[in-house]
Amino acid sequence: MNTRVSSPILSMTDVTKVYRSGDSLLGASGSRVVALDRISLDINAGEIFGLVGESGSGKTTASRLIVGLETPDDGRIRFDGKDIVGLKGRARREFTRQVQVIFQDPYQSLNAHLSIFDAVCEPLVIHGIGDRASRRTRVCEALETAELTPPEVYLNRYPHQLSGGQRQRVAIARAMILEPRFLIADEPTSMLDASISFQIFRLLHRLRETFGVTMLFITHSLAAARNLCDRVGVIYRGRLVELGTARETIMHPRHPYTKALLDAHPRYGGSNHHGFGTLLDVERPRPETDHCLFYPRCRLAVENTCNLQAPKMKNLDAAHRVSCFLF
Amino acid sequence: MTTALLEVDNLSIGYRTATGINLAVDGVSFQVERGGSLGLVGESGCGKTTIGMGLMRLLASNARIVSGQALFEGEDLTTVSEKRMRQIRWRRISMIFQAAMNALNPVHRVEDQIAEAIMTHEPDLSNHAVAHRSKSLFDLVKIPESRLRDYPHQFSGGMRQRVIIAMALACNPSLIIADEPTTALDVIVQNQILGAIGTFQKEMNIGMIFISHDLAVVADVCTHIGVMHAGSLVEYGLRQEVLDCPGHPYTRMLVGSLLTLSDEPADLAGLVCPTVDNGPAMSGGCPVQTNCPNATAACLRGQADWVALSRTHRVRCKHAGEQS
Amino acid sequence: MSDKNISSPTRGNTSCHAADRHRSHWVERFLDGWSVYRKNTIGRIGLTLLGLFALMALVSFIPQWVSPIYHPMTGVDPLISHSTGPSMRHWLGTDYIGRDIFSQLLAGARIAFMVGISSALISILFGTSIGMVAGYAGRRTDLVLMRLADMIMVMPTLLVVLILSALFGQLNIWVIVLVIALFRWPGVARVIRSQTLSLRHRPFIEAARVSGASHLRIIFRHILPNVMPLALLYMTFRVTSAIIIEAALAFLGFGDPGTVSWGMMLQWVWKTGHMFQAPYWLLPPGICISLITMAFYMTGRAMDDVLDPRLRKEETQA
Repeated sequence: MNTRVSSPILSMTDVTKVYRSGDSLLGASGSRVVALDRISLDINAGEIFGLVGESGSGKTTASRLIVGLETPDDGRIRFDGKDIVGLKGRARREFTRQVQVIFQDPYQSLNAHLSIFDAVCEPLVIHGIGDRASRRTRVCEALETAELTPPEVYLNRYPHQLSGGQRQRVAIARAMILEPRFLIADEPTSMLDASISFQIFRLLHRLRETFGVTMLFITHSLAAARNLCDRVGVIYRGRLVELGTARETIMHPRHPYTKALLDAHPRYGGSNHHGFGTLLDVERPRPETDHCLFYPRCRLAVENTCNLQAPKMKNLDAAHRVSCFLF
Repeated sequence: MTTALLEVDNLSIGYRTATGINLAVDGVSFQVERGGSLGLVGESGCGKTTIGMGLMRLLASNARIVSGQALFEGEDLTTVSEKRMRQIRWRRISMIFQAAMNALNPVHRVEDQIAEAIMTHEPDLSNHAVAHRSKSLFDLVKIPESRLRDYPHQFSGGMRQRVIIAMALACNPSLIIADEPTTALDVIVQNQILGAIGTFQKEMNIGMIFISHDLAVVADVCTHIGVMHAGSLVEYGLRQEVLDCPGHPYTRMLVGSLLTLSDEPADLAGLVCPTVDNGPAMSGGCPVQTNCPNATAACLRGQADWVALSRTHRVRCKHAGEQS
Repeated sequence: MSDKNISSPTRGNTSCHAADRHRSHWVERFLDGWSVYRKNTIGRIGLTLLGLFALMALVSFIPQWVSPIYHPMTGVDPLISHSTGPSMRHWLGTDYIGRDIFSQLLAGARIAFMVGISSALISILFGTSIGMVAGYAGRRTDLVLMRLADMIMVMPTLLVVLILSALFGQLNIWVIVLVIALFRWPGVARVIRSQTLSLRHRPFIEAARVSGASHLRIIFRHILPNVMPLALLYMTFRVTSAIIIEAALAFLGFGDPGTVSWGMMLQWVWKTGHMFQAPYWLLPPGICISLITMAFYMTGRAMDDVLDPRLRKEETQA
């Protein structure tokens, strides 16, 4: 896949997000869950960047922070070189024109009471773009972009009349209608059947080829990341553990966790399976001190190192970075 | 071959609706050998779960077995009395559900729940024997002995699913029906559970029907694969045969949309896969017709007969011979 | 089912088409709900009773049009100056100054609907808006609004109206309607708030936020349609309580003396000492009050069945 080398369109620096539960107004603090722990990554213009992780690893939190549904506790997020944390008013609207999201569950992400036309048209209305006639044309174009043809058939339908795949295409049309420069796809196919997923992947790939839209693709599937993404970052319990090109990171992983993920991938079709065996059968107890988060499960862990401090990101080469004491 | 553990012949299951009976499973036939494993693959709504529930006779009240038989150890599961079925269910055939890990009782220790499962079905066993049995079950599914006295909420999702598997094995069944047992789990945990399932299945020589929407997972654990679409079995054969030379256009599409890991990514733009969004087929015809690139007028006129591609591999497509 | 909504073959871009499209969606939802509703016996009884009362309200203008002596308020029969039992001339008899009880009963139905529905509408309007704002805004706004709701909720409505009328003398019927409405919104607000809370983090709301939608737009375009059925359900319960409160006020002598409500009729029976002498006068308004509140309540219960059963919650106090 042609990796376009260019300046980062989005960059996250030491982004941290902590969820506190049971906080009361009196200031008594409940339990803390670190959803993201000092994440730093750059996404280059025109690439599809995959964020791979298991459920609860913080990958969805990352997308919510980028679009401003939540604010980070620490760190900076820059889009086009401009800080986007806490944008308000005009600047926020300008930003939302350029960054859009496709959510995980197409059964939940469309308002049941809005027709497809109203749903796809809504961003145009919000941003006051076009008049009635031109909006209709643009909605049709967006539906065509999402491969819902002929678009006229869908305009007056309601979400409950469409299949899951069609709904996700409507969500894609809604995200694309403002011609954003950056698209976040948050596990867009996890609720869909395999063949439909495949079509959605193909559509996302085509969007990048046709419109040059940069994409953050969030997934738990190594195979999807391998086939769709130019670069990937692997995230484990809120920390980025490995970052590099999709080929290097997934086919030749360095971090024990990435290796464990590859080991666990269904064997069929994994032609050159390695069998790294980096996962312990019985987990170690979690150390009290700061530690490598994978230490309790890692067969390769080095005592008195991995359990005493957190590793830092190291550059293996220009493109490949890993956060592990073994390197 | 009468040695098969389970022989399902022309099984049809229908749901009563306002307009009549709606067949969710339409004339499905397959066998499961002792120690063999059959993977039923298909997309949501294809009837694969209904088959599992039908064999267990746990169908919803508005569903019933319309025709066909299912011979299990010489008894027809579709006709045996409810009393006899209660003896067979869980003792001879047990089931692992998708969300079963949420079905554990939160106020009882895991150990006691296993013991209860054993004693319900084998009341004659001594306490000692029950304890011994539950320990060996936990060994099999790799739950450390130290965790036996924990409560379910202290377990992770994967651990709870292992407990469920242990409970399913509690009475030494000869057939297990696993309905999407790993769908809600993360890859690493899924892999471990699949490993555990593979181990007990071999060690205890149990037959298994593994129901899943994920062809990759089925390919990992099953010796035979049956592909279902819209209530019908459309292809059936050994794992390698179905995966390496799929005979049915629908199977080809499923195999084609399996994303694999390789040094070169799949050519996403180039691969043609038919849309499966076209909606229901016309009644009477081949169930795949509206989504099939090879459909001809003949396909509209009725479902194809089985075509044998090899001794173990059969396909239900009018054009089966022509393309491979 | 898939083609039902492709309404007109010539799809223009005029506003009437947008309205048309919108209507067909709600019509379809209504028909869906209706098919569940009409299987409900209680709902059918409630609706039939409501129909009868509505008919009464509609024909309440006829008697005075037939002859001025049948005017419920001023129509004194020149031949009768005391309470008489049912006769051909006065089907349900007359009150203490010779006014026709039947035409008073019809007028009472009109007043009951007027009081019940307008007061319910106002309290639903308040409750829904405040509930949505509190649930959506959260934090301090939520806290302040909900404490306010709590404070009003614990005030006994009847007592407050009694005190008000003690202070300001006889209250106009519209003032009574307004006061009832202003004291009956907190219950609605609580329910709508919790529904809004559950909607707030749903992906379609977040999708709208990501598109840059303003808070007002999210509340009215995305949350309102989703809480509307619930608000309508609560409206039926509010109607019930408004009718009961108005009747109680009137019976205690704090009603609007210029209107003929059923509570007022009861008050007249009682005040003129006919309580145990004129059952033909006492029973009809009493039965009507019970039946109409029961009818609205039954309708509400059946609507409850139509809506998501998880939303069920007892809300009966008047």
